[in-house]
Amino acid sequence: MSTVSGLKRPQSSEKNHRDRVFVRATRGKVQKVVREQYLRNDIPCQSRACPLCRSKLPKDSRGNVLEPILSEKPMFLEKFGHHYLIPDSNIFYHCIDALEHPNNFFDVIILQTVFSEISSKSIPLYNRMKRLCQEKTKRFTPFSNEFFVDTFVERLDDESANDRNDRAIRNAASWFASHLASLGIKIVLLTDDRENARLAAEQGIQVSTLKDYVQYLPDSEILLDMVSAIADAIASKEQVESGTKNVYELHWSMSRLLACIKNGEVHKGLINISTYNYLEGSVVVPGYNKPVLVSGRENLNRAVQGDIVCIQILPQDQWKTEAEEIADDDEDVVVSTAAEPDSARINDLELITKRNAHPTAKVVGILKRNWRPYVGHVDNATIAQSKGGSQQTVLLTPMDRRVPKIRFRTRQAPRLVGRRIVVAIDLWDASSRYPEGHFVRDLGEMETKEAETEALLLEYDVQHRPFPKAVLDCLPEEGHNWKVPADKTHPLWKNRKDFRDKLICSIDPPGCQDIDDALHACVLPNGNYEVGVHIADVTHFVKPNTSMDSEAASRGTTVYLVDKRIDMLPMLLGTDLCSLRPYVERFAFSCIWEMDENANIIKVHFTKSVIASKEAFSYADAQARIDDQKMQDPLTQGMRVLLKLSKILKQKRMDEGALNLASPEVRIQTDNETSDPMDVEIKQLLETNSLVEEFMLLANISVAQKIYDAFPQTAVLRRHAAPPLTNFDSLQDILRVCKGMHLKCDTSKSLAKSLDECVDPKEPYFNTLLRILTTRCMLSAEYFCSGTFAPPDFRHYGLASPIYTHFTSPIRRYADVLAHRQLAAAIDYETINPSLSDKSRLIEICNGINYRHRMAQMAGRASIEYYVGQALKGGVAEEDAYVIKVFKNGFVVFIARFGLEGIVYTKSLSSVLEPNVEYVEDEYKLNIEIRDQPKPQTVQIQMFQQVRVRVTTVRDEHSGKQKVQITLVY
Amino acid sequence: MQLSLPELSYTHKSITEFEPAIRNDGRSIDQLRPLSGQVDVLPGTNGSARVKWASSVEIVIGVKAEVGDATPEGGKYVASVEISPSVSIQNRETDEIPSFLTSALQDLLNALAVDYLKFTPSKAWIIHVDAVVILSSSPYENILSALSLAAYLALQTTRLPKISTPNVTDITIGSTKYEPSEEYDVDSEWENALPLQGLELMSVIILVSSIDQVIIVDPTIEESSVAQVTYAIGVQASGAISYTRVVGTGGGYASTGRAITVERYIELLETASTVGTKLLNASSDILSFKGLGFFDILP
Repeated sequence: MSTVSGLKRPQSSEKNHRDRVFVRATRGKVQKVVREQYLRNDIPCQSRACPLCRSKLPKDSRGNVLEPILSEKPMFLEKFGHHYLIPDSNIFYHCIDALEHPNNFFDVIILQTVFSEISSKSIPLYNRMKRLCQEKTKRFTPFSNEFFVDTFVERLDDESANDRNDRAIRNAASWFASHLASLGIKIVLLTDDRENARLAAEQGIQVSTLKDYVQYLPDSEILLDMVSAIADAIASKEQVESGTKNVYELHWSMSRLLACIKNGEVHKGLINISTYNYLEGSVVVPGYNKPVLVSGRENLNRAVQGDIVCIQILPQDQWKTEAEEIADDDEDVVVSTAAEPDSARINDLELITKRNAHPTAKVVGILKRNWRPYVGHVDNATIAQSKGGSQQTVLLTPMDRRVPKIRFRTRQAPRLVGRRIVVAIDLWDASSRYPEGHFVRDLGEMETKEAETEALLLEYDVQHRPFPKAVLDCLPEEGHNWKVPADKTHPLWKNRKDFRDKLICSIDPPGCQDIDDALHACVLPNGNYEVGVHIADVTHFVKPNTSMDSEAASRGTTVYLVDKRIDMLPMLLGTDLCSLRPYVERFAFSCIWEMDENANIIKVHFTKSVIASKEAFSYADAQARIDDQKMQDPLTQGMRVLLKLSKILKQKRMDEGALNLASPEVRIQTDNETSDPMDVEIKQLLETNSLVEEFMLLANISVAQKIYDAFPQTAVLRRHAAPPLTNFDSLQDILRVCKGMHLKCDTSKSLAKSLDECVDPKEPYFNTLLRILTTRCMLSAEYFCSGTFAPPDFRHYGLASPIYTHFTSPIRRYADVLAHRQLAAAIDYETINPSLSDKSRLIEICNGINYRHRMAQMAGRASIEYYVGQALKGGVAEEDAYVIKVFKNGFVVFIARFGLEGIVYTKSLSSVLEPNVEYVEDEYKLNIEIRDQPKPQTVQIQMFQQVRVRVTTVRDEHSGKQKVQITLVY
Repeated sequence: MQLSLPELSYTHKSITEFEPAIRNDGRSIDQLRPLSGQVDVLPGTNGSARVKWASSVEIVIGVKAEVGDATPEGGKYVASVEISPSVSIQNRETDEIPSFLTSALQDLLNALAVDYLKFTPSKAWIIHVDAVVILSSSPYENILSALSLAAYLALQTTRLPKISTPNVTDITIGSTKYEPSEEYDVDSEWENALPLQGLELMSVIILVSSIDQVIIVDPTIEESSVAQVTYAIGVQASGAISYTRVVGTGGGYASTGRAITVERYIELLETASTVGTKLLNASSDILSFKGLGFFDILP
């Protein structure tokens, strides 16, 4: 017989628990919540010096005592003695950047009260605090004061929650102070709250404001900058409130916004600032088929790129066409709080009755800020040199052109000149022209590779810290000596086919180390061909739910910069154990087709395998080998078969309506010794490029079908939605007006066909240019989980395939890893891990990798752009360029040789007299009348026109930064 | 419950043929059975009470308030009475006794004001009063009295989280299409939660039987079996009568089921009113009782 027993809490008067009753309101539900809180007496103080708490220290699973965290000899300051710090919640909330400084702030106690106050205010901040506690060198420790019998405080009847928390913090500080008194260690309570400081001082606690405390530290100048603007703002609020006039309209109250959204008077949406004009943004609002424009500083009303805003549509007579003018970023470098209205920037609101007028709107409120730390440089003009070490206000010009300048105070202004720095925005008052922020970090000197790369990685949110130990622990113990077991009865050989005798080779860009894929082809006895695509078996090494797996999932993709690669998987796997290097045996995941003469698939078969690649070619080497008729060995023969089949496959795909879209891809030639950029060239595409591409596409499509059949709800697929027809409106109109051509865009097939037909015999590059512009009208492809869309929406528009996934690059993309696992389960190689059939989790992962993918692409592009600029440095080049956008006061040209886009301002055409410009909007044309003596003339600029431009780099006086300048040669 | 004729006769005679009447359990004619109670027994509810009526009936009630769609009247009260399976096989919602008790409790709750429960144009508090009969020595026991008293106490202890709606005036809206805001803020402090309003209209049910010339309150099963009629009468704290209803017309004894006069009926009401007010007054002490365990409302 079994007995049921339970622990009964003692009903004595000495309660060791407290009931905490509160009301929780979530998603329209309001609940009373009761928590019983038990108080403990065995929570250690975590000081290494303390002998009393030794016995209370927690043990790990092996029974070893976990060493306490706080140093026995903490920092000594004249004023405070040897001390530990206890900051209150607001210090963390406003100034965490300072606390994170690697060389300052050690031995800090984070009270549980502080933790819970922060977690209710900001989860990202809470996570940063947790990370701080994990960092061994900083010696930050959490302390559960709310669970500790000596530090617990109960709320008094007429006390607010805030006051109680402040009291709990003071109590904990005073407990620590008396607990450690005999050891000669003091406590300093950091708080900027005057009342709290006063009460603490009454209790005999050493207390200081963060600002005062920082002044005693060696790096006080840097740290003082990091003490957020808010602290100052709070301190001087009374003075500010009187007498300043508002630059911006006040935002509406939240309740008014919500009420007005409901009745349709205002709309909410995410604001996207134009890259050409930081004073113009657009918001996509349901109900308007065009994006709603928000232009001018007043209308934008303090919205920053990415914010969720509320907009009010302006009357129809104020509607206008998109970005008629380019905002010149040289304007307004004045530092003043109450600046005069920016009349020059606001477009004169003439009555516009144009056929493609966009609705316009103004921002009336901001629902959610999407601020992050911004990388940029200090605007030199705003630095007063004479001031020396004293504090001054300077402006940061962010790298992201869509972000306004940020004002911040610094004491180290002269030192920041020419440095890449990170600044965080704290607030943006209606009375302040610019947002106010505080200094976070110095990345290094501008224009140096290290600083610029770091800046790029930060701007695009690329995870680039070294792999943590937990991840490295997941690697095979043998390291580089790992080998495919020789004994074929070894369990690892189970269900693996032996393909070591197949003539397999890989074809990749030159110098490629992470070889994902290899191919082979041979003739079968029945006259058909056997074609195999072999993909690195990453999932053999990366098992689900390991640290390595979650790290790879959070990185999402490998990021390729010009001179640097940020790997998704540790080097050992990426470039060795998984990489299908030649002459060694490797595990692979193979996809084998039987094809006939016309590349029709007779049979497809997937299996895990062991391969031994015979050769690793570069595209050019492979091409040379195929072309060399003297080579008649079986490997070359196989490659010729592959090439032949790939051409048929490509033709089939094109007939289906696959798009051949162009985006300019350039290669940076670097000096071998210094890896400084030397020259830029457009990537050459060889037949072998498309050979590999075709078979990878085929493998991806075959796998997509297979995993979708096996897991209709949870297969990880990739889709490319058809772009809405309105996306093509303006391009179609431009084509009609300028070239008399027509672009049919109703299906991808007709688009592909009409793209082929749009050829200007006089301008051979025109077709490529058109393809580039067409690409920009497209939506981007995305990963998704098959249960979230209806099968017709699985379609990949660009590839004209009804279903698609990514399978062929598991070393550098996480989506492929998922596809591998699902395929392995689909062929009964292994049982499926539950995480791969959890739809909501897969959706989350897909969203994550879509985001990472986008960021990686942008980071890669930005890196190329930077290197193109570097390669051009010092030189002057005259190049052919094409006009791809026309504005009132300038136009955008595309320089094919550099894959570079740049703005030419009409006022730059003459240095003497500003030219008269006539903007013929209907024809996308500028008539520029140059009035210079002795040769006045008129220059016409129209869309698609080929022009000659001079490309130089100049040093920008304000930023001290090299920048590419493009001028028209006429 | 079937009683034998001698039993019925004995009960009838001892009440009608003695002065003062002698009841089986020794009570006086206007005396309720000893009862005790406990409030705030369920920490997870907005209000709760437990009532023990002699050793024959025991009831627990929890009041849960939830935010729901407003009704034309405002908010609403929803009653539900369950019988513990250990008490009776009649424990399904649709069974006769639970549904009778549920509708009786709902009738009492319907007297309460609900307009103030609405806090935005479409949102209001829906207050669920959920009772469980955890003990009843027989399905024919006087459950109603215990149920109504438990509900009365539970409602007295009920607190609604404080809700504030933004003070949206026409000036801040500045809009021609003004609609009152649907926004509301919930005060997360339980200490600030507010009691229910208008509970003086909540009644307690007193059972009164007329046996020949004698009126007895809170009859036992034997007593009601010999009564001409037994009334369930709702009494408010003011003594006002809110509800009357005939329950159990006896167990087949000669005198049962006979009509009574209007004067007799008024007499019954007056008796109930006196007893009811006394009970409600006595029970108010329990609300300030802080100790553990049961508090004797009427010894």
